[in-house]
Amino acid sequence: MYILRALLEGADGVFVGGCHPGDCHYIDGNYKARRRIVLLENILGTLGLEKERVWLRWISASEGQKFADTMKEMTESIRTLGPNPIAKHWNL
Amino acid sequence: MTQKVLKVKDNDVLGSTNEFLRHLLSSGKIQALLVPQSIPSKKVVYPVLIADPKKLHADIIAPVLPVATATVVSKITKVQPPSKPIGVVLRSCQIRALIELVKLNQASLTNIVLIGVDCPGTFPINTYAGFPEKKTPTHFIIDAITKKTNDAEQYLRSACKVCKDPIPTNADIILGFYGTDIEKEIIVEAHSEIGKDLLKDLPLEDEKEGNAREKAVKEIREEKDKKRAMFLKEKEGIKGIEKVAEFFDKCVNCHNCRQACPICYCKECLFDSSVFDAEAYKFIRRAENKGLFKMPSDALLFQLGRMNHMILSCVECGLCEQACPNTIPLMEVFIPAAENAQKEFEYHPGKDKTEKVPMIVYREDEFLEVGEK
Repeated sequence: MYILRALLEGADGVFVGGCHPGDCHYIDGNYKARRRIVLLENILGTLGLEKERVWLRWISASEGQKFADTMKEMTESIRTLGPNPIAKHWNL
Repeated sequence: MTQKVLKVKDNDVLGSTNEFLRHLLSSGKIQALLVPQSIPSKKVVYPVLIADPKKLHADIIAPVLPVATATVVSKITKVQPPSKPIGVVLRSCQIRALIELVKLNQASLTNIVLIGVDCPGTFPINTYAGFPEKKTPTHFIIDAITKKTNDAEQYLRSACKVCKDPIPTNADIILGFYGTDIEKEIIVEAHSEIGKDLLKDLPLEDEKEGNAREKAVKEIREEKDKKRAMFLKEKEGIKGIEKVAEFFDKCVNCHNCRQACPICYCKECLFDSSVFDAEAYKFIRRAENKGLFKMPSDALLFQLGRMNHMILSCVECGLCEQACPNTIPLMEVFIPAAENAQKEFEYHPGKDKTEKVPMIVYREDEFLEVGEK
């Protein structure tokens, strides 16, 4: 829901981060999140909306370098995609 | 499965099905029947809960679905299921919806006898109420079934035209109109022990002929599959924000679709909650972001959010579309979305009541590429 809201408001990308599967204090939230992202991406795909703007990555709290690298990688990838075309739609 | 035959007297299909239902209700084995029955104005057929067999004048063929019957069964069973069996007459889409509601803990099948009917499709409620032909909608449909014509097609709701499966599954008893001459005989099948027990004492004859029913059902399913596949191909075009925004541009955020949907059961919908209430400066900030900003806001967010919440359980009954005051052809987007999402999770809503809805379960070894580079 909040991912959709961000995209419709014109965010160029949305990042969702979680602990590695099988290695989380909250046990199974990441497995469930994985299903939710699969569903959301599927819906975006059906409607031809850019699912490439939604990133899910597993990064644990101790992986600072991985977080920084992923952020750089995502920024580059989104820059290549260009601005979110939804941003100019004010009548949604 | 036991197959029997209900003899139709004087070509009176409704008279004979009503006699059958009255026998069922008088048997003492069930305490009430929920059946589609005309209200006094004859304009609409509603689900009517009948305790007195003398008051039963059902129309189980009437091609109209004013409300989700599954939601009605949820209403009756959610607080406390009946202590003695109730029979409920349902079309296939509503059986599927009811099974989803059972999985979501919103209905119970305890002491509920599911009586499924072959569904020739339904007309929009206004078409039904002001039917332009000389015959009643029911007789028009009976004629179309008997003569195997496509006359009714022009009046069908779009969801019914591309129905996933008009033949009920998961019912205790099925009343079959296909694979028989319904002005002479109606096929009555028992698919469970309770179904068999209920049919035992009723004035039915044993089915003698071979597999006419099986063949007819197969043909109808194949024909519907073909139509649905064609529809899915045609609607591939609604893609990209331009087209999606245009598709929903008559959505005034009234939420009628959600109200009519059998799957949308939340007591308090997120979209009615205070989550989207905000101070004036936040609205102004949103206007500043894009330069301007349509009110009421978030109609597309509602549509996509609702889709995200219910699409895996969507049974494609099309009641959302029927409820839309601005006639948005919602099925053109919801059927492709349901098809794709349900395929992704290999999930078939309404198929198996012991299966869990996909968003509450997971497997460790699935979607392994998701979240990795």
